[in-house]
This record gives sequence, C-alpha cells and structure tokens, in this order.
Amino acid sequence: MTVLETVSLLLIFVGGCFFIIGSIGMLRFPDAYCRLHATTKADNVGLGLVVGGLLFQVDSAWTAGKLVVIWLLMILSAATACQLIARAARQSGVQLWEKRSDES
Amino acid sequence: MSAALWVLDILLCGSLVWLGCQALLLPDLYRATASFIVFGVMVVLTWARLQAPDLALAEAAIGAGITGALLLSIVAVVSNTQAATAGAAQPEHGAERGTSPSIRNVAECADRRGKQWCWNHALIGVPIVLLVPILGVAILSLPAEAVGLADSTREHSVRAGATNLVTAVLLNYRSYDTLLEIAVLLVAVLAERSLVGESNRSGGEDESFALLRGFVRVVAPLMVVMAGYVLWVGSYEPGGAFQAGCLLASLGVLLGLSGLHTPHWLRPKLEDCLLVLGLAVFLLVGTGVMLLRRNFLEYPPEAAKTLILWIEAAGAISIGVILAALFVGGRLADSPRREERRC
Repeated sequence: MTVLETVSLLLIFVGGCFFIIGSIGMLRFPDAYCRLHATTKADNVGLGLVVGGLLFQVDSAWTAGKLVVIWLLMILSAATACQLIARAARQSGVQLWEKRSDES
Repeated sequence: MSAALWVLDILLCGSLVWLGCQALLLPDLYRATASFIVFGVMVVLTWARLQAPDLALAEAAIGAGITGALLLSIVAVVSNTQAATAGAAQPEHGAERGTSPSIRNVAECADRRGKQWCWNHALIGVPIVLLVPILGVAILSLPAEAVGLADSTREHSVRAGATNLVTAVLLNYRSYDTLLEIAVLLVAVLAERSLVGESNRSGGEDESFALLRGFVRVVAPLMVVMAGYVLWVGSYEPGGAFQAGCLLASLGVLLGLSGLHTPHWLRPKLEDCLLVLGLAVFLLVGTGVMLLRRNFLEYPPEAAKTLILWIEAAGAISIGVILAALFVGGRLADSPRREERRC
C-alpha cells in the first residue's frame, strides 16, 4: 500500500467516524436544536473528510472538481436546511433544553 | 470483501422491510411520511447496489424527493384541517346530544375507526402475504444465467438513437409506455385542478424567509444547468427526461416554499401550453412518422437520436411544470384575479 492510499483510507475512515458520531448525537441529544448541531456539523466535516480521502484516488482533475462541488453544495444546503428546521422548531414552540440540577 | 457486501445487503433488505412496515402501519401520518422518505433513500441505495444507476437516479428524484415533498405538504394540510374540524366538532356533538356523555361518543368513534383500520390492513395485507411466496417461487425458478433481451437491445441501440440502453428502451423500444406515463401525469394535474379550485392555493407567500430566498437565488441557476446536463447525457449515460423534469420541479417547489413570486411572464395560458407540451410533441412525432409509412412511434433510425432529444426536451419541461404544479395545488401561474389583488 502506498502512502497516498494510506492517507486516503485514513481520511475516509475518520470521515466515517464523524458520520457515526453525528448519528449518535441525533439519537441521544435532548432537543431539536442540539440534534441539529450534531448532525449538520458532523456531516459537513465527515463528508469533507470522505471527499478529501477520495481526492487521492481519482484519476482526473474533472472528477476531483465534481467531488469538491458536491461537497460545497452539500454544505450550502445543510446549512440552509439547519436554519430552516431550527426556525420551524422555534415557531412551533419547542423550548430550549436546560440541564436541571437534579439530573446528573 | 464479499462478507462486508453480504452484511450491507442484509442490512439494506432488513431496513427496507422495516421502513415499509413503519410507513404503512404508523398511525401518525407525519412519522409514516418520514419513514416513507427514508424508505425511498434506501431504495436508491438498493438500486445503486444492483448497479442500476438510472433507476437510482429516478428513484432519488421522484420517489424520495418530489413524492416526499408532495406527501409532506398533504400531511400539513390534512393535520391542519383535522385539528380545525376536531376543535369545531367537539362542542357541536355535545350540544346535539344534550347531556349524553361525549366520552362514550369518542370511544365509539375510536372503536369504529380501529375496526376500519383493521379491515383496511387485512384487505391489503392478506393478498400481499399470499403474493410473497408466489413471487419467491417465480424468482427462484428463473434460470441462474439471465437470457433476456439485453444482447439484442445492445446490438440495435445505435439504430434506436441512444447508446444508453435505458433511454433506448424508454423512448424507442417501449415508447408507448413513456407516452402514457406523461399522459397520466397530465391527467393527475388536471384532476388536482378540478379538486382544489382556484382559491385554495397552498403557496408559502407569508413565510418568506431571507435565508431560503438567498439559497434559492444561488441554487436556481445551478439546477437549471443540471437539468439541461442530465437531459443531454441521457442518450449515452444515466439520465433523461424524467430526472431532468424532477430537477426543474424541485426548483419550482423551492421557489414556491421561499415565497418568491411566480415570474410574471408565466400566464395561465402559457402554463397550460407548457403542461401539454411534452405529450403534444410526443404525439406529433409519433403520428408524424406515420406519414413516412411507418408504424405509430416507429422512428426512422437515421433521425431517431434527434427525435428522441426533442421528445425528451419537451417532456422534461412538461414533467417539471406538472410536478411543480401538483405541489402548489394544480396552478403555478397567478390567475388574473389574484394579480389584480396584489396590485
């Protein structure tokens, strides 16, 4: 295995870990806003790392450009969707979660 | 490697069955719809795994995307009206029956609804349970090596006008099917128009939101370019009229949600023309070749590519307008009366 392949696999693996962490956060976090934070942040970084890892494996600049554009579009739409969902949650009266003192 | 793929396949199959059950059985419509959309995404992965990128693209655009948006908008309308009628009906019942306890009434209602629910699901469930083993036997009795029409399809694909076999099948070998599919979409939008009427337009004009509008302004040109690209590559790579039409339609949905006004040049008459454009061009080409003493929809091989491109271009525009119109209640263009009010 060459150095490039190792770096590529490592990046993809770390990206996958971000996706898993984001999913755990979405399942376990207490309210809609926290869950949004978990999914959007983790997915943007995760996808970025996966794309970065794949960039080492593509054979043409054209494909590499396509991959980067996909990542940028995903960031754009994820950020917008996150704002929209948070706004909808706020308008429908979802309260911010606060840690109570009796919970530990 | 193959063990990992086995695990992936089993996970895919299991999640498909589970999500399908969720979508059908969950009593909460919103959750059921969410399950259905995730089901669509899983179907996309399944098609990709079966190396059918055309189907994966179409399913992503139509099944998970546009249908999901349509269902969600319907759920919003239904739950709103249900809440309104429930609030309005409750006191009326009490007044009608005088002192009769409304609790029993509600219990009766729930009971009746539960029975109906059981009947509905038995009616669908029993045939499906019977169908599954029959289908299983049918699939297992097939020969292991497929002896389909793939080879002869590939052989004649250049004469058929598209080296992408799926496009060749959809628009030449079996163009009848595609013609009728476009006709079905047209009928659907006409039916919705007659049901919804003019006043009941469900656009999000009050919910204008600067961020969404800014997003749409950035994405809209990209989506138009992508639609053109997908349409053009359809003749030799996965893509085609339905996928391109879906991209246009999702642009229409975004425009409707962000509260941007429908362009003023889109008059109702023009919208009607765009709705029927795809079917009209398809029928014109189909009957036009009959003048050359050919059968209906039997394109001459030397012109097949051009004809298919024209049909697909017109079809993509019509599919886009039809699906977008379905989302906003059958009409995209502002009727003259609404425009007066706005002025």
